[in-house]
Amino acid sequence: MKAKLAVFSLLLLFGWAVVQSGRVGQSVDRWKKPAPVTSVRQIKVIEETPEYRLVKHPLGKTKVPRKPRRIVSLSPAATDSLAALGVRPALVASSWQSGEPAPYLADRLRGVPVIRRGGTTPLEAVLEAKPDLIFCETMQDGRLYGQLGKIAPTVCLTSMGSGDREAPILDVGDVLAVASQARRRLDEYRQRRDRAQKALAPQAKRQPVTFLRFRRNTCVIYARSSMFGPLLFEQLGLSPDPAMPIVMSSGGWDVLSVERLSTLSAEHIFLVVDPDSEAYLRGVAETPIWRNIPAVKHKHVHRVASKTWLGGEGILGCEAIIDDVLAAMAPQESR
Amino acid sequence: MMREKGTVPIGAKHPSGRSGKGGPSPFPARRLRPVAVLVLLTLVLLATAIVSLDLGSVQLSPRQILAALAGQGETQHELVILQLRLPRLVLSILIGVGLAVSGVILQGITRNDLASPDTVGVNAGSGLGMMFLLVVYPTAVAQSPLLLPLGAVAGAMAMTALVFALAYRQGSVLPSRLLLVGIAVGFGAQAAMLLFSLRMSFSMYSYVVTWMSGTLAAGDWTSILLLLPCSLLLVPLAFSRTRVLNVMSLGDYLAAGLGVSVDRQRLLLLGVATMLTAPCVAIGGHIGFLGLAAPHLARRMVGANHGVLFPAAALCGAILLLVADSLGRHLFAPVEIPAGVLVGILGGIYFLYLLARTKG
Amino acid sequence: MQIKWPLIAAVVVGLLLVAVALSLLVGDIPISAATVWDALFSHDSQLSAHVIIRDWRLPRAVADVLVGASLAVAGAIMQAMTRNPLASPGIMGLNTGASFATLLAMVLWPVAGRCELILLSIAGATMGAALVYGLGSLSRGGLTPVRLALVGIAVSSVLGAIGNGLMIYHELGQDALLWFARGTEGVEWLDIRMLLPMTGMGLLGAMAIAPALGVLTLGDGVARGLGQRTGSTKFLAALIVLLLVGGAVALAGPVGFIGLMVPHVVRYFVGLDHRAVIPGSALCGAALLLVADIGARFATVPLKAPVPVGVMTALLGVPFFLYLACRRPTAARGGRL
Repeated sequence: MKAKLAVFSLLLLFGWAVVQSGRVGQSVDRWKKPAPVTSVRQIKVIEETPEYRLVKHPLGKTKVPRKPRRIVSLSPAATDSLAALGVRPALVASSWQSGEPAPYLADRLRGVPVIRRGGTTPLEAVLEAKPDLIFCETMQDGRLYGQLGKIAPTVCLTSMGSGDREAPILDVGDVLAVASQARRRLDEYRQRRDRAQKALAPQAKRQPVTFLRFRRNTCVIYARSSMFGPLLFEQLGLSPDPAMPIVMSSGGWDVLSVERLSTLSAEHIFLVVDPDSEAYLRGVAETPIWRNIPAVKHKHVHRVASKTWLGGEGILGCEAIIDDVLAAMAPQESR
Repeated sequence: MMREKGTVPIGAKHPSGRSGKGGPSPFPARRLRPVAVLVLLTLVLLATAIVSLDLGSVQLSPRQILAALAGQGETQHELVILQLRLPRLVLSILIGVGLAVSGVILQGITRNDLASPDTVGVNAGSGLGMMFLLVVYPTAVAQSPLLLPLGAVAGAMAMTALVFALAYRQGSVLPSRLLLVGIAVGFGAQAAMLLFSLRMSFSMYSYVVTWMSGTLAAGDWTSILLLLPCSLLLVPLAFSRTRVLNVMSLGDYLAAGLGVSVDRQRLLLLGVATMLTAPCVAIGGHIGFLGLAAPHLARRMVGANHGVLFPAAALCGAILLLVADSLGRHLFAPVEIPAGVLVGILGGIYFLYLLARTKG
Repeated sequence: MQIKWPLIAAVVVGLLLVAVALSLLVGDIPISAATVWDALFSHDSQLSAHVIIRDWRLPRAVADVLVGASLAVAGAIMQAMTRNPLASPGIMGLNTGASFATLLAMVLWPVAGRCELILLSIAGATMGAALVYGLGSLSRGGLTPVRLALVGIAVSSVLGAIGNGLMIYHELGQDALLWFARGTEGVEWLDIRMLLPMTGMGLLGAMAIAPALGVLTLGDGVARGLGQRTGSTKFLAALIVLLLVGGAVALAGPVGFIGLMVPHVVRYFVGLDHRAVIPGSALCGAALLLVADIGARFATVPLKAPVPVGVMTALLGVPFFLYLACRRPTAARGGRL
């Protein structure tokens, strides 16, 4: 009897867990409009002395040296911001699935050594770079924060999957005490963005846009509020294909079966194809379902780099995306 | 309650010295003196420890290592040795010992040399607990790094409790039923984890996969301080049950006849095994294979007497994990392969060797 | 229990047809029954709805039938051969071996075509099964149900660890997961054309050795005494199982529990005459996978994330496994089915 009770209560517990996880999906309804993304600052300077700056970040407080010379950046947002500020880090961690940083950063970061993560950050490699400041990422390196802190003062940035890509440069600027330069660079970016928005205005309403990714023989569509979504749809004013979910509680993407391809009505498709899915793309491209999509009919399928669109987490990434969009939709405006 | 077939502990001296299938016994009847084996294992452990202090991307000469250990080296070297490598060394030993001892306990109470912490639902439970937290409360997890290990421990305890409750029937837990229920629950947890994994972002998922492969990368002195009290309490407690386990291997009837209250002891030992494994899994991730392989190896070397089996298995476990961790750090530097993966590979090779030896 | 089994057969076949029809109606896009009828019988290849029905939903239903039948028959054969109620492709390492081989292919040979993947899948399944069977039989007393399950777990944790290592090093992560969890999603007629010969041969072969299997369940000694060549029967049976499972995993990824559950249910109704058990398992397995697939498609809506068909089969399979584990002690049953 007691055993039955125990089993029953434990099963209830598991049932509750399952329902909870489902409710996350429900409360964040696919088609409901989420709250607008506000700029979330993660760094706050608490104290400044001649020797150091006391900085508060998501994982605690750190004393940052006034003029760090060798910076190690394990966070893609920080890497982007450092490059935008013209700082050359001593070591960066590669973005996923390759041994190099994102291609749009390749020029600026030429010659900077890169370490591959492969699951955990290799501490000794970081140590060998003799850093005096480390930027790390909460999700990937959070467990190692203590250890990293013993190597050098460590500041953590949380990677926001849902596209606030403007805050990191201000955060990094605060840490490095170049806040005014950071603000200027941000203003430059905003002007460029507004120019692009005006250039796109005539087409924006009439030509919905969507983003697809072919990976491992599946097709995946990203949600409007993840990653580049706010940039494209709120700031540049493009209109999304109605088939793009507004929010997805999973990593921001949803599997698109070939059936659902027939619901796409976009005029422009920005496409990322993983290297192993070329054959799959060819197969899908031959079906009448694909050929009936307006974008395909008018030959407006644009291939873009995955590391830019899915990885670009700072201002430089946004600028690269804007370049891609202009080249596709308003070629006369792009440089 | 009949004793199940095929549960004679491997290596026990058979009256006829033969296996049931005919042909020469695959396990040699002669054996080194157990004490000699223990001494040998300790020496191997020491040697491995010394080598592991030497491995890593930062190259240090032996003199520098010694200086750092004594607290008189340069700061860089001290950092590498005292803060990075030494904690990992100690952690590998602690976790290896914990998992191996709990494996011995589980194999003893189920009288089946294939039982391991995996099959009682600990690993599946901790994985599930972690994934649940990551998917449902991701912001909370990002804020406090302590939440995940706690979730893992809670999941492990809940899962083991479920397994035990399901296997409990008419006042006793049959070993075979315990194992099968554990496996069934493990499958269920795997399916649930699959569901969760598809709902995570890429970086979260790779984090989970790495954790689930058993990584000791975050080994620092705080996690050792967390693990040490558990080990210091529970390992001697397990060792003290030597006589009980020896007697239980004779079968439930005989054991009861010899004055051992089988069910209560079984419950107690199961609890000890879980409490040993849960923190190890919470800190080091899912190092699946160790609790199975270390007792197996030890039994082949020293026999089934738990008095020597416990220390031998503990030493084997420590050595195995230490070797796996060091190799993982070193082989593909600077990319780290988690220790659990290498334990799996070594285990696979051991399996194949077993197969080849018997057929040939 | 000996009910009139022509009646049962008719009921199961009817269920199967209903399930196929339902499978054509359920999908990401609502398509009315009238459109489905038109698509099948007066096909217009310009209409995307018709294309979807004929080129995507119908092959998916057919694949479900084939895969379900293959897995169930393979399970029935394995349980008869080893006289072990827990034997099934998932537990005996076939699924794990095949997935491992596919993972290796993804990593080392990303451009491998479907043909190569199928061959690799079969090779992997063979390796997995050989490991589990070999290791399980090592000790005195051979392959008891418990030992089988444990060795299966051990082997799959080893292969899983190595697979994890590969995934981590090459940062495959969710990609591999998506592939393994896809079920029969995205199956095309091309895939079915390639696998039909193999599956067909396997099913026919299973029917051919069905009488021999029935005798085998009485025990090796009895079978030999009745004049059967147990060695060659077992060899043939193993070959057929590999054909069936290799094809099934190549088509739909590793789907568990069908090979475990269906033979038990069928044997409960039909007894041990494998001339009835095999086709019964095929029909029931097909129906089960179809129902699970439809259920998975329904479940995607509230959960807002793709639900793999393997999770649905686990939903049924795990309680079933628990029931098997908790009934009368296995030793007292002498390992008989």
